[in-house]
Amino acid sequence: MKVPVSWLREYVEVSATTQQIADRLAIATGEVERIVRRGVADENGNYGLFKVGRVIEAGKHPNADRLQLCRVDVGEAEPRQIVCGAWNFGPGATVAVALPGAVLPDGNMLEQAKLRGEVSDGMILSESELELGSDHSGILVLSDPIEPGTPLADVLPLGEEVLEIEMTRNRPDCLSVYGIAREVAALFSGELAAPPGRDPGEPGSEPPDVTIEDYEGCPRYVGRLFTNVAIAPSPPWLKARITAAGMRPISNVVDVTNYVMLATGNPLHAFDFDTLRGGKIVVRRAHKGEEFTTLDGNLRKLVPEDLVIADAEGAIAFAGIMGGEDTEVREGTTSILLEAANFEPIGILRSSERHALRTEGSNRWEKGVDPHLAPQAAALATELILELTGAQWAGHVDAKGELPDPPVVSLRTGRVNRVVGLEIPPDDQRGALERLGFDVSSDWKSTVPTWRAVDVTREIDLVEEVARVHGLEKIPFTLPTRSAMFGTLAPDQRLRRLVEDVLVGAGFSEAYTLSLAASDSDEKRSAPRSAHLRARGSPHDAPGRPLVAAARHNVNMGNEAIRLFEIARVYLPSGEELPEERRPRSRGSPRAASRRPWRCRDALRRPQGGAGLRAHDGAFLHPGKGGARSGRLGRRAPPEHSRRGVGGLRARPRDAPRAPPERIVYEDVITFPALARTSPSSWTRARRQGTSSAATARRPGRTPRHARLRRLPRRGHSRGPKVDRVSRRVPLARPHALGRGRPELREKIVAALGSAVRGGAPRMSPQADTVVFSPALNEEESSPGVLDELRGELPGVDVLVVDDGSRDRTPSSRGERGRGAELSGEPRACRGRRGRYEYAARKHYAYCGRVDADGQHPPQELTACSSAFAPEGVRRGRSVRASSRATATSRTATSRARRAGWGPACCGARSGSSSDGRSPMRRAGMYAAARPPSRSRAALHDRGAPRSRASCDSPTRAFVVEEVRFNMRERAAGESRISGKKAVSLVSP
Amino acid sequence: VDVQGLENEAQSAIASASTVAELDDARVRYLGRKSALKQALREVRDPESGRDLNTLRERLEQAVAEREQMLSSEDLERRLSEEQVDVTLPGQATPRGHLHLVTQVRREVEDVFLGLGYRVVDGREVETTHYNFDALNLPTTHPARSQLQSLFLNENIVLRTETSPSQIHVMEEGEPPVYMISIGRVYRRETPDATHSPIFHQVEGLAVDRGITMADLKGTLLHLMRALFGSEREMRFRTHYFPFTEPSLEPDVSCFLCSGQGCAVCRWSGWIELGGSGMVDPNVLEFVGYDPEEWTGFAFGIGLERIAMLRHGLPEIGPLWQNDLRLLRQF
Repeated sequence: MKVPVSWLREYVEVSATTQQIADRLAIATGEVERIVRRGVADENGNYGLFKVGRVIEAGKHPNADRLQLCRVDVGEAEPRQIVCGAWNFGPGATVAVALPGAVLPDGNMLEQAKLRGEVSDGMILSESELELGSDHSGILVLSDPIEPGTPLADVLPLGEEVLEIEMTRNRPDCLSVYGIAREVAALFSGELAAPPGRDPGEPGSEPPDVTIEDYEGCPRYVGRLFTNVAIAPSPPWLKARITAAGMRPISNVVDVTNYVMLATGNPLHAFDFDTLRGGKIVVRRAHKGEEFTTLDGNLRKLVPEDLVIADAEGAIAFAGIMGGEDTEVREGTTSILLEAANFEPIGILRSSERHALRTEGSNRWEKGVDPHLAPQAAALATELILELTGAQWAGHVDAKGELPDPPVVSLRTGRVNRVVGLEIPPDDQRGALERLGFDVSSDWKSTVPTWRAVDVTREIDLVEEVARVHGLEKIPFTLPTRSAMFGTLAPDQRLRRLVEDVLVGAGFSEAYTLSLAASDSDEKRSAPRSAHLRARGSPHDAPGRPLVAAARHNVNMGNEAIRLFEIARVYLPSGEELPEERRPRSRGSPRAASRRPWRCRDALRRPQGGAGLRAHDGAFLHPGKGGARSGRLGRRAPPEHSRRGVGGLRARPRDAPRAPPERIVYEDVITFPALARTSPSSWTRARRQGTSSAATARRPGRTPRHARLRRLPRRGHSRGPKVDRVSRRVPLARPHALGRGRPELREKIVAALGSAVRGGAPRMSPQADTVVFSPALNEEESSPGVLDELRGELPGVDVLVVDDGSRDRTPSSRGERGRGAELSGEPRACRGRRGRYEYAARKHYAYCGRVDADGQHPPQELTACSSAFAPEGVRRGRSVRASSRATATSRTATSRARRAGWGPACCGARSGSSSDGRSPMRRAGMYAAARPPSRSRAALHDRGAPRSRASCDSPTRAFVVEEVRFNMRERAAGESRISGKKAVSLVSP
Repeated sequence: VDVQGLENEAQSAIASASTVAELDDARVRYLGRKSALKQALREVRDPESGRDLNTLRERLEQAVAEREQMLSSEDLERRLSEEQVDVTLPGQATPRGHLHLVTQVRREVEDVFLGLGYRVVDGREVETTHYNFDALNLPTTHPARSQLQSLFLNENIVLRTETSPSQIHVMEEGEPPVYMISIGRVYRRETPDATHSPIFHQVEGLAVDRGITMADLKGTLLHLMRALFGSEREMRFRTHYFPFTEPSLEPDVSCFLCSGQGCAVCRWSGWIELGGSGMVDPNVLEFVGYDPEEWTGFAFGIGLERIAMLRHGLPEIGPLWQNDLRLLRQF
């Protein structure tokens, strides 16, 4: 709504400046987008240079055919000579003149000039040059005989300020100058003029024939007939106002209808009465197939929902939206029918949408215009038509149905204060409402003025009126007095943040991609009527495609190290009305190097704790390079992204990654030292069966874990001593993991294992495969258990328990003799290391070891062990370089391996150079194998046989010393039990 | 034994030891088990010579200790002066990712409201018209219900045009008081231009309690704006119209660039428009079964992209969806 301020001030008397009015309206009524200053600027005496002039002489310019040379009296002693390009005036015309020095609305300063040899001492102005209208075909001729020299500003609105106000849709009353004036009056306590328009006398006796067939669509129709109408251009003041309000002047009658609409907010229409067939007006719904041509020249095909104005034969206008071409008021029209009606909003809105026809009229009707406004508008229009066209008012009709009574709403002043949060005195509340036109009774029953009936129906609506008139800026800033607090994130929200943070920490940047997709390219072009969500499983989904597109964009932009992720919804068909929405959704990452999809996994593993993968060749993944567990992960299938590697991960929305537990229970870190472990179960299974575990053959092809394992021997090879290649591998990696996909290698390994265990190769003992030599333990009770475990771990192996001479005999162990365990019958012979080994040798056992209950095996033990079995000619102490300190050292090894990126793994240890007996592992080469899956690790823990190894070599052969550590039993309440035991076995390839 | 001679000899040997090894040699020679001193001590039979020899031993031991101290501190100093690392060498760079700017704003807003004791709710993005329009008191004539402005999947299902439906769900599911914000994607059928995108993110807040006032709304939003745009920010509220609030207010924040002096960001008004807010319309409360006489509430909605663009001076919204790492890495 554009509101010329001079017009506004005609209706309301306030002392406030335009800026003040604008500021206040912006807060309390509607957004004032700007104040436009148009026309002649009133500054530096500029107004004084615009005068009324009278043309004294006008004739052809002597040197130009198209110019007139005029002498114009502008109230000075001498008339001025002015050259003018227009010919629509002659001597005696009263014109608007700008004198040299004047600044015109377009910003140019007028100067005395010579035009074709004649001096032009000023300028005769046209409407458009003054921005009073759009007519620039000729100069502006003032009709009244005004004294020359009169300041032009006294005659015409030279300069104008226009408020551009954007009203909300609930305030159709403010789509009028008078409506805004009412607001200004209320806000500034100004004097509001009476609504414009008063019927000038009585109408004639020819009431128009108006029939309303649809009172719902048209509750009221005021029709007025005027005869002897002289259609002409409007006077300058009218043109100026309409132009300033943003409309185009057309003719006096049309301009009057527009002027009244702008002034009152009630759109009007004027028909050329003579063109109405049957001389009657019918307001009805359109007939099927009915059509007519609207003012804009378009043929409109109507549907029965459209409300139309018809004459006796057919539709002539869209009710409230636009008139018809046939009945248009045009030059030569002599009688007009003025329509001041009221139309129901929704029908107008629908018609206007249906026909894509939005006009000033429809804009007001669709928001709901006060039906009581029609007579007022008609009166104002009548006044003006009579004045401007010299017409006679021939007839009047006011057809109407039931008009709604103005609503009455009760107000509690306390309620206002409670909602607003500010004590507003009752008198102020009453005053605010009354200034807005509400009739407030003594018991606070407020009768809503008819122009606000659409918007104000409840007490809360009155609260808003009071608050905004009283002043929103007076409301203080407070925070709620809380009775409850909820300030925590839900677990899945915390998880989302965690996943985001972990991925960001792993170098991924977050992307946002659109969740809408065109169903296909054709439909995209024709603007689909409905949205297409990218649903999983649909052809538009292709998981990760938007991210690949984002990656491609980055590639094209020359960015490097592209790692992206996104967490967003997926929409799944649920079988019900609404799709199932799942979140969070992580999508994969494009990358440049070859190994990084696994980075996604490692990144996600952290929040969810240990995620293994199983092979998966999901839709978007490379069939041989994909994995799945809580999502899908892998290399993207090749065609999508050419040779650049693209890895993808998509977490399955429902169950993964798992939310962090509500409460993490402390796990003891002191009782058990960190140990290097491998899986004894698989190891022993392999030994027992003489073959690798079934897991070996489970899946063809490479998995990432295999890739990692494959590296190990290679690294060891470069550093380790010269030993048989196969035998060296055996202890370093789990056998089932070796040689996968390489049958010949596997055979070699199996053979090596078999020979080590079953004695194909050089054997040391004719009696048993391996002898495990268990110490006498301090807790006699546990010996049977120890033996059972040993047997469980090493089936088919003889177990010898030796009393090492300590005072704690193990009488109960003695009973085990018959079950495959031997307890030395010669305790004293076993005393000391050498004694034990000699005993074992005497008995043809392969190896004797002594293990302490604390899990620490003295390094000398192994040296001694080795020397005991060393072939002749090998110097003692040199042939074995290993330490059973592996247990302790492997802690270092483990942490080193972790740093090296292996993750917690089982570590074998290998001596490098000669052992000084103190820290033999210091320079040890290290090997880390992949950590067993967490489940088997847990099982391991249950079965309690972590294992570490040291390998020894001698000039003649290599062999491996294994240390098997059995579980540390918990010290149950009141029952002291053995806490650890260890056996050492020697395996010779 | 020539105590004096032995002492002179030993002291000079200790003093002349220039390395720890030499000192050790000297110690062994003069104080070791087989040294003359120790031999002599073993053979001592009278207290006087024993005392003499023992004090000599103590003196020598002390001399050794002092010398050792000296040598080791010299050694330490030498090592400290010799061992140097060029600390100006570049370190090993660890790649760091970046959260999307909108996510960062989302977290900030979440944190502000978590601090105020609000719950964060993730609502649905696909809603029934019932929740998206009817429950929010949108009249049937409201333009948002038109296919020209909203994205419909079918007649009854629409991509949510604001995050407000989640308020209805929360209120339906629980009893007052309610303090919540809902942040997420919303969908409008707009032609993308510099400041409009058919998909954008909105934060919607709702507080329903006994005695909630417009003043509380003003204070809460002021707190948020100061958290986002700086503690000097002021706010003003303009009357407006939204179907789901009555009275409705449009919040403006004082321009953080020019502090109200006028600049391009605030279009020379000194104020920046942010979104919509107001007191929850009694119809909405009644709809979810709350008694509007007992409970009042306020609600507001602000676009996250708008906050991000304003605060960081992004001229256009489009780049936020392009995922260009050159942009992502700036934040």
